[in-house]
Amino acid sequence: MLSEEALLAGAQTPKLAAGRQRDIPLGSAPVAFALDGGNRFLAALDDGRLRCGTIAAPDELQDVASHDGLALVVIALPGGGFLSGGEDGRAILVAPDGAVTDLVPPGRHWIGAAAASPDGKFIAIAAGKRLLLFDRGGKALGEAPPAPSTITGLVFNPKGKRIAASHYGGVTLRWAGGLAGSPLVLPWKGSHLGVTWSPDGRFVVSATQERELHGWRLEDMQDLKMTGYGAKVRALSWTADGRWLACSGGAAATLWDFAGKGPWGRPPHQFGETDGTLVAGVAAHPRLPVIAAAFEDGRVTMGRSDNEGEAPVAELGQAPAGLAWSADGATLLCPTEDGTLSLFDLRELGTVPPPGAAASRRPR
Amino acid sequence: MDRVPVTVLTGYLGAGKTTLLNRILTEQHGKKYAVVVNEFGEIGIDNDLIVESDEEVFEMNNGCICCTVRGDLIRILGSLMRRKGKFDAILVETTGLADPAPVAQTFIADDEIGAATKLDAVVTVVDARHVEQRLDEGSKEAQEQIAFADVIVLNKTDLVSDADLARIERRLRGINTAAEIHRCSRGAVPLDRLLDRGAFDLDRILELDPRFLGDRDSAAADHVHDEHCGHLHDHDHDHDHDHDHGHDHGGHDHVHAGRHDDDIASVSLKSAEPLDADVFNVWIGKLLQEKGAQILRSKGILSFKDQTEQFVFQGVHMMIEGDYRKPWPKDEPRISRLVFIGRDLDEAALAAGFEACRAQ
Repeated sequence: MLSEEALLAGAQTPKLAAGRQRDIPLGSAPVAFALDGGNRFLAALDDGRLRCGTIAAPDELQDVASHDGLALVVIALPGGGFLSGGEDGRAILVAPDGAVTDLVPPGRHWIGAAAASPDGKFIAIAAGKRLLLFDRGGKALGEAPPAPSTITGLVFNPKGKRIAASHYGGVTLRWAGGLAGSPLVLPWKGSHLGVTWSPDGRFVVSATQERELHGWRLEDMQDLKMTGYGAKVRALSWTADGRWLACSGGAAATLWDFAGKGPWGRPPHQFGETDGTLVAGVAAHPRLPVIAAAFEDGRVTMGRSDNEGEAPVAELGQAPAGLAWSADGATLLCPTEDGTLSLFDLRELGTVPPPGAAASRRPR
Repeated sequence: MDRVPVTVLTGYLGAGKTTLLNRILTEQHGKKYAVVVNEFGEIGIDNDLIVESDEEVFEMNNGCICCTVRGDLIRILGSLMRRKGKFDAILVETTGLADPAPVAQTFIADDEIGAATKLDAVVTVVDARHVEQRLDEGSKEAQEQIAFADVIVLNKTDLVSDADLARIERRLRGINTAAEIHRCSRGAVPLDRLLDRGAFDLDRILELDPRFLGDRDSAAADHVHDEHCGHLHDHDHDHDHDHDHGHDHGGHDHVHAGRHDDDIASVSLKSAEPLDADVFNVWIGKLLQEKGAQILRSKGILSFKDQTEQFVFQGVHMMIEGDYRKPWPKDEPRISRLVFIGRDLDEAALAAGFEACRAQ
């Protein structure tokens, strides 16, 4: 286990020791992946199956349910277990023991977004333009008036009382306790494809069709624009200290600094860039100031949020389909498009090369 | 990885889109399709993989006012592309009221969709019995669907006389001089005339239609046009050849086909004299900036001064792409040809602008 001393020791990151990588065949290509606080994972496969396993025994996979078509969103629930929404319009609740409940029965509209409040009290689901709210047991609590267009992303604020929904034309904020009340609309032209809320509650950030991030500082509604991506930003992850927002979509893993006033005038920290291959996934370590990034060519690397160095993890040679840390930060999981789940045991710490050293490694 | 071809089927309600769709699905043996429909209609569709769309039209936030895309199509195609190897091609059926431009522009404006798929052709099914009435009523959608077509399936010809048919076809040509028109009943068009057209592929403009645009003598013949999309001012002008052919052919010539009772029409322009590439670029760029909302589609083969190769370009509204392709044949005159299909086009101004592009 990582010690506090290690955490404070400066330029150190978790280290992959020899023989500490395990590769598990999932049975088909994964299209969505999540890991819950109890070290259970759920992989949604391209044949519709939802397969669960544990870090302790990752090769003992259990088929818990199946979508007719693909799963579009899989999230872990704060109390353990998962929620999966699919093209069949069905939202499936998977309990930690693998028991399955239909939260939304199959229907016409794809379930394209879902979120759970951090306290586990609420689950929000988007079916087309509809925003549905449930309690943790799956009891329906209500429905918001329809959004102006299909909801593409959902997130609760850190207190779990408000829900942000991204769609064409911006992001709409509603109160979980008053869904029908007048919403706060955060407008910005164009199509918004996903949304996140800063851990301090002050910023809402969306990913746009135009390969940018757009942010709103809620206290004064200042707009914030973060650009420079080669692809749409699909993965967003906040560091454990709540200060840095890590993003996919660029040739380097990109970290925006949200301390104080926010990222205005501060260039982002970046790591992992080699030949222009884009970052497909990012995942912030649950406790250390460390971010893991998976590139489209299968390269997995880690960098420190303070830019004090980076450390390679693996070259998987396959496009990643997700990236997640276990809740204790000891294991990093990366499913790839060839249907493999790679698990990296990273409980040891190592010193990392100085900034820039990694870039000269393995020119290609 | 080969990009998956996408065929877009448009046409008014009742024109016979679904019948044609089912023909493609049942007759293309050994080929598997993914089908995107606007709504599950009364006629069932015989296919394993059908996705229903919402026709959500979005403006891109990129400063281009006519750059609209179909947000639902981006999501659907994105999801379809995760089913690798499950199908060979995609058919997209739109509603009778859909504007084809956002559909076409989706493939241009979204890089990920453009990398995984390619728009093969826009096929518009026209009901011979009702199309004149639709056009007389000033139906914007009916005009746009005809104007946007690479292939027009003139359906239900058994229900109208030959004289009517000839008149209808002239009117369709007036709107869209560049499309192939196929007469048929019950959608019975050979499928190789609908599929694998490569209609947005620059190379195939040259390969398939030596006579090309606006040649009135061949108005009765079927034309095939090919395009490929890119972004505004995506021209490649790195060539610097030094040949100086003296062209003594007569000046410019322009033809405006058909009657003037439809808002949308085609304007074809020709020139036997070589053009100045820089002047043309400035002109076409400014034209599409100012009139891009009116000009639905444009395409051309151009002879630039001191260039041995044909410059080919095509555009959808403001988005154009062009490049040098194969050399001009040595034994043929180099005729630059250009067509605009658009609403309320000022033919005289276009002709004057084009004329001013002649190399001095």
